[in-house]
Amino acid sequence: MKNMKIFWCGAVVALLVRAGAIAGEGGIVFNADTPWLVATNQPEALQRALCDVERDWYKVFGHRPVILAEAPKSWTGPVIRFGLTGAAGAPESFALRLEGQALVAQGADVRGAIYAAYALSEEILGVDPWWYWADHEPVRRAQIEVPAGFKKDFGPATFRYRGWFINDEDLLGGFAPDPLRENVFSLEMLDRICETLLRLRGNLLVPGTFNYPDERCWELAARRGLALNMHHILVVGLNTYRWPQDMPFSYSKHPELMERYWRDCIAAYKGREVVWTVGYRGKHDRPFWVDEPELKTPEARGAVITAAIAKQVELIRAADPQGMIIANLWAEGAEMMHAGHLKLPAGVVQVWPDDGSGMIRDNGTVQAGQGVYYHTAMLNSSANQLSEMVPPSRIYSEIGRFIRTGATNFFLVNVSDVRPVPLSTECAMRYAWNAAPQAGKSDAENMSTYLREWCGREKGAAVAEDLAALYTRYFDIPYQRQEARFGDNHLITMQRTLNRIAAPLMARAKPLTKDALGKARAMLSFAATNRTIVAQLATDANALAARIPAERRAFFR
Amino acid sequence: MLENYGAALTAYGKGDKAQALTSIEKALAALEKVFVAMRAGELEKWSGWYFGERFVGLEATRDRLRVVRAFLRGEPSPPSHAPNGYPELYRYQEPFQPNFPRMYPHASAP
Repeated sequence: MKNMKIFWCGAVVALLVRAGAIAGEGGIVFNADTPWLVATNQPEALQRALCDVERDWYKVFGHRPVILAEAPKSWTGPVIRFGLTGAAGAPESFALRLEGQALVAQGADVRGAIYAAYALSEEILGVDPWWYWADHEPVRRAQIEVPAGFKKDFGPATFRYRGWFINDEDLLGGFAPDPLRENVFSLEMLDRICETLLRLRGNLLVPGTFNYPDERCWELAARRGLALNMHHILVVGLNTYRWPQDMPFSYSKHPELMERYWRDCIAAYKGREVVWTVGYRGKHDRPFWVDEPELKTPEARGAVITAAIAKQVELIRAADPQGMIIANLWAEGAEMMHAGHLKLPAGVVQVWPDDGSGMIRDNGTVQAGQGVYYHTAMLNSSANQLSEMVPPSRIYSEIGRFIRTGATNFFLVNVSDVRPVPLSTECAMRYAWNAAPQAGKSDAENMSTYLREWCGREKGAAVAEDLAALYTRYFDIPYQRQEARFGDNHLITMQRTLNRIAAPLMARAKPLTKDALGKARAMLSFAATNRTIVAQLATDANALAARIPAERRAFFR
Repeated sequence: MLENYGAALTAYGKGDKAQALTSIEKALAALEKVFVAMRAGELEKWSGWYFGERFVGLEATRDRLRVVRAFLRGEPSPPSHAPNGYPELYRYQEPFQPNFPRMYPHASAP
């Protein structure tokens, strides 16, 4: 009899351990069999996020979660509860907390609930937001303990809108082409991008460079719970890159044509959450006067852009009275605004661009309510599209100015093909979500802290300090320094520019011009200044590779 | 690559074609290391990640160096890759051009 009692006590204990009820007093321990509670009919965007977290759970525990709408009355063990709080709260705010036997991950609204789910995955299950891009699978666990009193509140966000611009997407297009040939890259790849953006608490996407307003990429982003934005060339969603060759391109001469197309594009976004971009530029990344050269003075040009914007705002307001409208002052826009040639209607958010390498072109005039268009990857003649470019200290310095001024309505970062720039992009996204941890500290200190944390998480704690030091030296390569801010494309541009002069002469066995020889000498000097430093950096990085845990070495490469 | 390319042109400017050729060979070898480094970043599921690279133009750069090498050797120019930029990346849109400003046919089209 005594043996039977011992047996049954042991069985009950085993059952309770299996269900995860044995923990430090007041805490819980949960495992593969701990059920999830998710109310039925959750919004699609939240369901999709929960599918991602289901997969995270499976990777950690080796089993799919049990998902119920309600816990059975007989169940007294721990549960994980997802969804909306049902109570008022700041937009996108959410919490992770222990309520009795329930680990709760809930948000004030749909995006808050999405962020709560991903935050549980990151903070509790240990899933890296960059898991797909960094080949970083979570550690397998048998159980996870959550201590008594566990409570973390998140939000509201520092920047109202925080988004990515997928631009110059040659790598994505070559690596994951759309099998239907109706997008540059596949919707599956776009889904990964949306997932990562949401894991980093982003809420806005420009899904490509020259998309029509009804391409399927917009629908996917919307169904993922993201707001849609269009960039500075394709204002209002009009794909001017595909402007018909037999149609005149001129707002000053044929406003009715442009307005008809603007109306049609605005209608294409009906029913979606949109941050509208207004402006007037050319048929590629250039001022409109390249395609419409008759207007010669800045005043005349500014008047046309101002008129176009006013009309666009009128059309947008008629269709979407509540949608935010921004004017992205990329390139000539910033110059014209500084010179006083542009006027924006009331309520339009003025968005200052950077220079393509992280220095924002507001000339110190930023005001509360404005926003920023930033780059962590850039394709131009001098910046980086294939490697990291913007040191975290520059992000903290430049974006910090906007935060301290209250210019936090809009933050869009150009991440190009995503995979080359996770370090700087995450720095920017974390800062845009919550700038409080960095307040009161120097940019250098914040960069040092960030690099150690990033390197520790991505490459292993044992190498974090040394690897962070390597990154600091990388960002301090002379041609990448603050004063120069050149990148990998600068090197190619130098060769291409010189070759354009030299090759035809060499082809005819002619001597090189003084100009060409001068450029060659400048190239030699440039290389001599940088090569030794870069070579030493490469040597030290290779030496460090041996200390990187084997499972992280591929990402290190 | 840059250093050796600059050295090649400098040598050519001095009339030393042999040295110029040596330097161009070194420039090509240095650029090849870039391709090797890129391959190292294409492990497992990332196999082919750099296949679409065209905007920085590393293949085009290699082509230019090969052409200069041919000049210095007195050989005909080798075939180079065709231009490959935004028109090629967005070629998928061409069949849909008649539906401008949208991709797909729609009710409000004129």
